[in-house]
Amino acid sequence: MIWRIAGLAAALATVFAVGGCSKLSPASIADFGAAKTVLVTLRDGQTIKGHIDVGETVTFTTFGRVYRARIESIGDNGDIVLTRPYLQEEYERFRLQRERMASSILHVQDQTETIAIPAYKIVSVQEVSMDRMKSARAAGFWGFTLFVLSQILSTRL
Amino acid sequence: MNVLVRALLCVSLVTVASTAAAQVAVTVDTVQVPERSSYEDGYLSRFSMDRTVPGARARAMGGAGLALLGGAESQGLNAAAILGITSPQLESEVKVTSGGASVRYVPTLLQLGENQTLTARNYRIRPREDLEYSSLALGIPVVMLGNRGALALTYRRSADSGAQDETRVELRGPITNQADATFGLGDIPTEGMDAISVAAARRITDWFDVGVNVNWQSGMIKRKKDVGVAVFGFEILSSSTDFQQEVSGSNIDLGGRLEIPLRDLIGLNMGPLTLAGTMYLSHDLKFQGARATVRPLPDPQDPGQQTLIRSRPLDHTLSVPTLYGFGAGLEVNDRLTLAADLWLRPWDKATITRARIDPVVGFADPADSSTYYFQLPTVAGETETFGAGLWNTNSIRVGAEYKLSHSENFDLPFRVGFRSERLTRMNVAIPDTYASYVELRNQYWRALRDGQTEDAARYQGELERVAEFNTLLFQGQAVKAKTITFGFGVRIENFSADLSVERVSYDTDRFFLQDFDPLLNPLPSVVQEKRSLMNLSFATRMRF
Repeated sequence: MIWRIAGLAAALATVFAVGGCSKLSPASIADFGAAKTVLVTLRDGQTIKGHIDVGETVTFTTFGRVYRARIESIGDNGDIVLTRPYLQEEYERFRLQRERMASSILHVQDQTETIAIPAYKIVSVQEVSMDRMKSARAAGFWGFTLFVLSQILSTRL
Repeated sequence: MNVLVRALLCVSLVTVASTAAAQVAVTVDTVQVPERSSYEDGYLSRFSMDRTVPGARARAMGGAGLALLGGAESQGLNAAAILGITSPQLESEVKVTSGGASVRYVPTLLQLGENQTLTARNYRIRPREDLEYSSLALGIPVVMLGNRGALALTYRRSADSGAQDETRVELRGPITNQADATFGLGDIPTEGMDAISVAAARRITDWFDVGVNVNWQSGMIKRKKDVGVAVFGFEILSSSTDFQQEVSGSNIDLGGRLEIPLRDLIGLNMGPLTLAGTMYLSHDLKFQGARATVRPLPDPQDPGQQTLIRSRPLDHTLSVPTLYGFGAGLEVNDRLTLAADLWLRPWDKATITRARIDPVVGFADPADSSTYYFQLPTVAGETETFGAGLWNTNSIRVGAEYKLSHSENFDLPFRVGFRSERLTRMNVAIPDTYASYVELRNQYWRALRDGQTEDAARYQGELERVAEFNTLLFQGQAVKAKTITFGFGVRIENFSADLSVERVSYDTDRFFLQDFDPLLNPLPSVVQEKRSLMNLSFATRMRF
């Protein structure tokens, strides 16, 4: 019985938790400042994701590293300046947390705390929005799978 | 005393006499009874030994599809069919059972003893709804020895404990003071045998695939029976039986698929014709650790005394013969697929092996025929093997799938199918010799009394057989079932869901009200029922 209840609870929790399936749709530099989540892709593969507006915190992904940074300024032509980058994740390494505790501020290249991204590096701007159908399918699938798993466990444990 | 006599005497006492008896302090006596195997005791009479059809798609196609490429769940049909896995996938499935039943024949007179009868009317039977899991399956495509292959891991319900039902009948007679007494029986098998299966398949050539599947099977078979006697809607008496036993075994399946390109060979404008074969290799199923507790209806002569009958049925082994499946599939075009399977399941070769029993029958007081007793001592270190009394459950299955809509990211298939087969569930047939077990005992007693040694030996042999094999001697032909199926599916990009509905129809003869039992219910009679079970399966699959 405990497993049945736990399974149902987990299934319901999954339905709410797995709501993050997203889709990309075309956008432009003109959407900077709008209340939209935007994915900016640079020509070297780096990306900026978030609400692109001054003072907002966005996710900046570069080679093997993911930072959270604050937008200091946005030029009229689309230049973006990030400040106070904060290393959030580093691929292929597992000493990240220790390093982060040692210094929560990353000094990039010239030891400054800003990252300037000129507009000419931007190759695409896309709006990130929730794909409701896909999210519903994923939530339904995982919720149902957890329900079946809980049925099995309740029978056999 | 016959359990029904006991029940109805109680009704009489309760309805006519005061209720003081119910207030008497109850003492419980626990007794052990002679032990056979649970198979001979009839506890496994509803256990389905044939593998349940895996996958909502195959279910909707009448169970056919061992020649069709499928997902991870198809390893339970044909290990080679898992080559349909083209990306990692996870699938889960549940089954809901319900249904209806009607009566073809029911005795209108119930013989309780040598001179006592009751009228029986308004007999009705109702299957109970039940929800249980079917499978959780994981599949991945692999490159195996330089060629395309696939692996599948599945946890699934491989054999059901049986359908649940409730029976009710109104009984009336002198013993009930001509009042209607409602006799109700709930028969509730639960759980069953599960399998953890690992399958591997590999494409040998462009037109030939092979696969192997290893099943580790285990589980618990449970069965609970509740009897209630009610007058004017109030239950005044009850009894129950609880049984459980572990079952385990392992076996290997082998499978192969052969694709014949009709377009290339004879210029037909259709997809390949696929022929397939599979073998579920013979193995043993071990039934161990059985426990049964029977709480009979109280004795009306002594209502303060309750008896608890405990038994530990003997462990036994069921030899499962090699089962063969042959199938054909045809992709008529990109929307229509046809499938047909033939299953050969020679269950008549199945045997039971358990500790050897040397039965003893006799009369505690040779001058009194009512002092009959039997004992079932086992012979240390010896086993005996005898036929399980099963019939072959050969099966023919046909099915079709038509995609109402078909595109790269969306499919909407509709499926129909039909299946004809025998079940491993047996009809009850009462041999003339045992039509009146009480009379058989009396004949034995008279033959002993009159010194008719030849007759006495014959009666003794029959009584020993009943004591030892019990309900095994009452097995008639296997139940024949016809199944009509249909179902829908939907695939949207990497997600798919399938729904199938099976209507299983069969006629069955079974013991009227209670199983035969030489101690508790020695007067067997049969009721004939028409049943239709509805199995609804729902499965989801995600490809990653």
